[in-house]
Formats: sequence, structure tokens, C-alpha cells
Amino acid sequence: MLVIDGQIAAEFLKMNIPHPRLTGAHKTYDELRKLKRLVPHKPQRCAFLFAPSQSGKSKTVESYIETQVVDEVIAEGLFPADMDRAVIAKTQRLALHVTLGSNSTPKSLAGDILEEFGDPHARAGTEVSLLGRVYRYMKQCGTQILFLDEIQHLDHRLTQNEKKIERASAPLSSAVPDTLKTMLIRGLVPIVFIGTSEAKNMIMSERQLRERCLSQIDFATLRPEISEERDIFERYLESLGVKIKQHGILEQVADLLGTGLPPLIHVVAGGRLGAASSFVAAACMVARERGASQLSREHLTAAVNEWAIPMELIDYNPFEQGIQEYERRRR
Amino acid sequence: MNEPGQSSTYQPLTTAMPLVIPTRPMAGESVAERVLRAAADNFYRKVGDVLSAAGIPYCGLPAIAAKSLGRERELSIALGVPEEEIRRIIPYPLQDRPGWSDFFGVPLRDIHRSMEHRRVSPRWLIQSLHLKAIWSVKVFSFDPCTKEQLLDMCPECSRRPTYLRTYGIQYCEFCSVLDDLGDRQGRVDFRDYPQPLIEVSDPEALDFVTGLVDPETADCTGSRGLHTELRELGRSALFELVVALGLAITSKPPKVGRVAGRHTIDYSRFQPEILAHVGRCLLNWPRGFDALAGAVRANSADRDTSYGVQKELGPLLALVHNKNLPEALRSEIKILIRENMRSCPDALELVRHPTHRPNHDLISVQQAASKYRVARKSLSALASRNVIASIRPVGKDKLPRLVSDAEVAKLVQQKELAVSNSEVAVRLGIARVFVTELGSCGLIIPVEKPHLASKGREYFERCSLDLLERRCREIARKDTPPESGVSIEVAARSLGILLANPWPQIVESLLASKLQVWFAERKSVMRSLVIENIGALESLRIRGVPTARADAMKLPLTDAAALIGTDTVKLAQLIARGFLPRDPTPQNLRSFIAEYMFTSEIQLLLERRGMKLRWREVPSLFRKSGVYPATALIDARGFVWPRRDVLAVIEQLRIAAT
Repeated sequence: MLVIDGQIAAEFLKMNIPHPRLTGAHKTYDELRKLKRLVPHKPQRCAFLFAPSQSGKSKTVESYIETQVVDEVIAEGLFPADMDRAVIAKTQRLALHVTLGSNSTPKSLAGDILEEFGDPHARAGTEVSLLGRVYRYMKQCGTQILFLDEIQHLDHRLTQNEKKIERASAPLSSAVPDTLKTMLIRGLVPIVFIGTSEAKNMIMSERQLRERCLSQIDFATLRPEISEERDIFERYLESLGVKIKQHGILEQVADLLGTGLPPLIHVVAGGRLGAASSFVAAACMVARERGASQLSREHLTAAVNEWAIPMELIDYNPFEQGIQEYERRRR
Repeated sequence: MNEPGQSSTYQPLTTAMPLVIPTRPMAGESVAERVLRAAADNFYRKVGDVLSAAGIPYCGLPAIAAKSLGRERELSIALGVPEEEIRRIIPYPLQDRPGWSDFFGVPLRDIHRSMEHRRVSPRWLIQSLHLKAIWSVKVFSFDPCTKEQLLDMCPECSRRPTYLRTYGIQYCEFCSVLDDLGDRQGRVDFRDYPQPLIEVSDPEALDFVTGLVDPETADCTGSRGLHTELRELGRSALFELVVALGLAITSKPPKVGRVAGRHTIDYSRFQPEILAHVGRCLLNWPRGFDALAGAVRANSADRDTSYGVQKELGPLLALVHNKNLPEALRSEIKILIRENMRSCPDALELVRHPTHRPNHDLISVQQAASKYRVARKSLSALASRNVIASIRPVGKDKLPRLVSDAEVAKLVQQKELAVSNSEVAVRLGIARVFVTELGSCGLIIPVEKPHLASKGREYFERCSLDLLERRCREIARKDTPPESGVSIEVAARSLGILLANPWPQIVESLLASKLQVWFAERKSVMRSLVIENIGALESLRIRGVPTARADAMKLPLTDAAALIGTDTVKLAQLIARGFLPRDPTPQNLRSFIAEYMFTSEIQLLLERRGMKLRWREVPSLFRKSGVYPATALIDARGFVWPRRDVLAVIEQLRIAAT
């Protein structure tokens, strides 16, 4: 199996490709923060972002912080303009991106948030004292938005009973939704809940949370039969081809909109932008190994065989066999 | 693309982690106040959390400054301030002055600062939410800025706040309430309890005194207008002078001690008015000193002396002996006192001197102790018991006690002529418990315990011991001892004589030349005398003489161990396991020996019956016969056997052999 070079993977991670869905997500984040600024002492609202893995959910948050938030904190004089933007993104507290650990409980949720704040004693204390410290830190640091990523980890029963997803994702105890609801009310900070589709039921089943939702951000799989979504995918591929050169991965711009390539890449990536990026990264790896200066169809074909199929993204090579019948029918 | 390792300079590894909320430097804070505020700002309950974030191990001790020494870099990382700032606020101990610390550039005695409990000025906390290090200086009972009396305990629970825990620096750390989240919050806000403002007749003088150590007002002190001599002393010495003068003018009338302020100081005596009074004295130096002397002299009638400078200016004279003041200042004060005494027409300056004593044979106990190298306490005790004549005015307990030099010399000589049983035991190389019978048999001569003797119950003539030693050594042959030779001390132990003293018979045999002995260079006599082999001593058929210890007398462990032929470790084990009571008596030992026996005794019995076994072979022999040790004292060694069963087995073995 092909192993993607660390440098190439790093450069792909650094890429920031705007697209309508990303912009839409950023707009929702802006609205939530605007609400916080206008009524800072009132209970706040939330937003949901549920989508399959590799859809670019976390990327929306990272790009939002690295671009918009970093610019703001520099403009406010909280950080010097000549400071490394990555360091600013990591140390600023205006927008907090917290990734929950597995089997999260309300206490470990508080610990995760405190760790994001950089608290040396993030895990020491009772659930109440940790949450109290979270609220105070958010108030003291002027936190305007909290992103809770991998929210599906809050319901550990889901992983224990994967076969009974529907039953398991209905929370038996109200502790988790209650904590999240309290964070909106007591913490006085808007929250964006980010997770896989499995977490959707858990969050949406709580009526009070649902009613506090400002928007449900659309980040579902891109469908080729919808022209707008197809257009998003193609524009993304076009930008990706340019970025490959800009980031010095290959010498020439990759023409990913070449004859018939977008539908094939779409099939391999399953309509997910993040997966498409990973697939192209694997193809770039193949191209570099072969000493090519430009990405070509052969490299993509080889990447399917050497990377996508072993990674179980797909079970056949559409570049060699064409798009299979049921796929075509679906299209 | 960046190559790995191109960016960022190398940072040494540190365990310190920055706190979420960095602390802003505030004027007048020392490290203890800063760390406490950092804990409060970061919503930690314990100061230890801040220190542990800095990688400083903390066990609840209040000395935060001491814990920070050498860890400034880590603490600066945790608090988010420059390392220089941390170094500035740590009161470092002064290398050449034990008990002194550098308090914002002013050397200050640690005794003047409260490291354990904090005090607050509620009015100041309303202005700015931070504590000041000057509040820890116990000399000041008020805040120099607001002139508010400091609050030193919670108005509700009456407990004294510390530097260890916090709900916020403005709250009592002991009074709490649950907030609507279920978390604990401070309940008693000190800012709700403003304290009275102090009023003094001379605010300028008071400000001068506080400015000597207060880091905030240090620049605006009136030290520029001071007398040249005082100005050159520096703020630290001036502050110490303020303390000494404050203690002098507030000392209780009968106290005219020479070392005022050396030990515990009652800081409640430093009322603001007193400090202002002393401050004015310094500002008007040297006239101010005369004014102060006048006030002290006015109370001379209350002092319990008859005349002289102690009577007139006793409390001020204490300054001359105050080692915390610079030598130059003490000399200056001495001169000022003398001049003051001369200028006073009513004063009679007289000094007591040893040459004024009526009898030249009398010396003080201190002198006698030093001259004869004996404990002062012993001499004082003898004088109190009238063993030696002594003189001291009635009711003057603080005056030196005079004793007769000749009488002390006599007692010292008496002590030197005697020797304690402990010393006899060491010199002869036998157990102390066996010394008494040597005296009973006339081998050494017992004497009464000398008055100056401090240890040992029995005493003997030193010359008799010297004679015994000399005779024993003269008997010994000086050529090389045989290879099988053992010292008499070792041979005596192998005799296995329990609860009896073999030494009188051994020594008598030795002096009667019944034993052939060689001399070996060792410390004690009985170890330096070597006999041909163990059998040489056994052939004398020594049975031992009964010990002189009464049956009910409690024995020290060493004595008891020697009597039953073991060591103190094993004896302690026997006591711990209930075989013997604590502080065993000879009666207890006898009962024990009647019931139990050690492996060494078994081996001896078997040897006498012609079975020569090693110690390690004895247990297996008896186990085969169904006899097991009652206990093992040290791991699998030091067996204690049931005597009756063992003797039965030995008897069977003898019959079988026959």
C-alpha cells in the first residue's frame, strides 16, 4: 500500500480552498459571534454541522480561525502582526476549537475545553468545578464562539452498540444534552456542534437544544446530479490543481478537470471534498515517485490501485473499468 | 517547502506550563502575594496548583518564597511574566546574614514578616484588587497608603487567612457558599468590612518610618533630611533602629533586659503613635535621642534597680547590646547614652565590676564552669542544694551566682579520682552488669558517687582499676600467641553461663596465674589477653557468682541481654513477641531461661555429650525428633527452643549413643 509522504500530506493540510459551503459555514459562525457581541449577557444560540467523515467539517473551523479570527485578533492588538499566524491561531481564545476525546462524559468534556485553554490542571477537580472554571475562563478570555468537534464521542453507547445505531443514539440519560444546554445558558457563548451523521440524532432529539439552533450547516455529500453541487466539486478540483503547484508539490499545475476526470474522482472520493484532497495527495505521491512534473491520469489510476482500494474508499478502479452500472444509474 | 528543523530556536525542556490567565505585575507585591493572586485569577482553590504548574513540588508549606528559589524561570513561565520580574519580587535570603532577607532591596529580618498569615486593607482592595507585601511586615498594623488598620482575621469566622488557599484574594478562604452552578464561592468579602483609619499626631514621621521598607513609598521618604550619620547607615539599619527604639520605649517597667527584641517580639507594641514618636526621634537625631531618653528616664522609678545607667536608661542601654544594629550605630548610641547621663545632674553613673567582690575566692558559676570544664547546670544544681556554698542577693535571680573556687576544685578532684561502672566495663571489655561483682570481690574498690558525676550508678576508685589493668597485663606473655588462641572475652561468652557473673572467678584465676595468657594489642583488657584455646577456660570449671541485681529491679536492655547470653536486637525481638515484658527484671529472665533456650546453649550441651555440631545443623536434628523452635528472632535464624523438649531429645540421644 502506498504511504503518502509526510511533507506532501502537510502541504495538503496547509491548503485553504474556499468554496460556497465553506463560505456558508463561515457566515453562520459570523452570525453566532455577532449575536454574542450584541447580547453578551443573554443565553446564546448554537449551530449544527453534521456530515460524514472526510467532508471537511473540521477544515471549516480551522480555516475560519486561521483567516478571519487571526485577522481580528491582530487588528484588535491582542497579538503582534509579525507573529506566526499558526501560533496566533493556536493561542488565541476568541474562537475555541475543542476536539472531544473518545467516550466523553460531561466531566471529560470540561477537561477537553480546559486543555484547549492550556490549563495545566485541566483534569483535576470535580465536574462542577471544571465546568465552573470553563465558564469563567470563557468569560475572562472573551471567548465568542466554541466549536465542539467530534460531538458523537459524547455518546459512548454508540460505539458499544454500533449495530443498534438508532436505538443507541437516542440518549438514555439527559446528562450530556443538559450539559451542552447549560453551556449555552451559563457559559454565555454560542456553540457549534460538529460531528458525524450518527451524532445528529443525539443532539436533535433534545428539543431545547433544537430550538436554540440558529442554523444547520449543510455539509452533506456532494451529489453529481445536482448541477450546483457538481459545480462546487469541479471548482474545488480546479483550485486543488493550482495549489499543487503553489505549494511546490509538483512543478506544473494539475489539470484535474481534464477529459472525464471529475466524475471519476467524485466516485473515488464519494462526493466528499476532504476525501478528494487525500486521493489527489496520493496521486501526487505516485507522480513524485515516478519523477513526473505534472499530475496525469496514470498517476490517478495508480493511486486508486495503490491507495484508495486498500483504504477501502472504493472496491474497483473506475479509471480502468469505468464507472460501474449502478453508479451510473444513480447518477 | 520548509525543511524539518529549519524553523524556531531550541528551547530547553521545562516542566513549567503557563497559566491560562497571566498575572499582570502590580506594585508592592512579593512572590507570595503574586502567586496567590495568580491562583485566584485562574480560579484555582490552592496556591499549590500554581506552583505545580511551574513544576515546583509543593507539600503545603507556607514558605512560597523558599519554594521558588532557584525555580524563577519556571515560575515566570507559569505566571507569564519576565524572569527578572520574578527575581525582583522574591525576598532572597542574604548569604552573609542568616535570618535576613532582601525585601525589595532593603535587608529585613525574617522575624518581622508573617509568611504564614496574610492581612488585608479592605479600603485598598476596593481601589485595586491586589495584596501588598508591606502588609506582611508585622511592625505595621496599618496600610501605609490608606492608613487603614489591617484586617488580620475573617470578621465572621475569626480565622486568619493564609497564603495557601483562596476563593479570590478579597474573600475569606474558609467561608464559602455554593453558587447556582453548584461550585463553591467565597462568601465573606473583606471589602464589605472597612476598618478604622489610624490617627497620629505626626503623620510626617510615620510616613518616614513606613517609607524605610515600603517599596511603593520608598522614594518619598524624608531620609534626605536626616542627620549624616543616620543617612549613611541605610534604610535597613534605620528600620532596625526604629524597631529597637520602639521596643525600648514600650518595654514593661521591670524589664531592663540587655537583649530586647532578640527572641519573640510582641508586635502589638508598635502602635502607629509609637512609630511616629520614634520616627521623629530619628528625624531630629541626635536631639531626638535625648528627647526619647528623657521619656525613658521619666519611668525610671518603675525599674527594679537601685542606681546607675540601668536604672536611668535601662531600655535604651539594650540597644548597645543589640546585634541586629550596626556596630557603628551601637557605639554612637553608647556615646549618646553616656553624654546623656553626664548631662543629667540627678544621674549617678556606676558600674559593677568583679574587682569589687569582698572575697577573691568567689567566682561566678559561669567562670567556674569554664575554668574546670564542667556543666554550668551541675554547678548551679549543687549550689541550690547547698553542696557548695554560694552567694546571690535575695530575690535577684538574674544576677550571677557566686561560688567558692576552692570548693569547686575539690569536687572536680573528687570526680577525677572516681570511675563509673560504664567506664570500668569499657576499659575491661566486659558487660556493665558484671562490674558490680568485681567490686564485691575486692578486685576494684567501690566509692561513693562524686557530686559532679553525671552518669552511672556505681563508682570505683580509679587507681584500683588502673592497678587491676596493670596486673592483668603484666601477667601476660609478650611473645606471639598460638594460632588457636582466643581472647578471654570470647572464651567467657562460650562458657554459656546464664544469669550469673563468671568474671570475678576468671579475673581471680588470672591473677593467681592459673591461666596462661598472651598479650595482643587491643583496646580493652579482656580482649587484649589471649588464652591458648576455649578449653583452657572451661577447664577451670567456672560456675559464676550470682549477680547483685535485685530480682525486681528493672534492667537496661544491654544488661539483660548480657545476662541471658544474647544481644540487644534479639532481646528487643523477644520483648516485642511477648516472651519477655518491657524492662525485664532478673526474675523475668530467670523464668524465660527456665522455659526456653537458644541454639548456642544447645550446641554447648551437645558438645559436652560428645556431639560436636555446627549451629546450622542443630535445627534439622531437632526437627527430625519433632521439636520445633518456639520462634525465630531474625528471619530463619536466632531460634528460641522449648527447653524441656530439647533436653528430652538430648537425653534420648545420649541413651541411643550408649
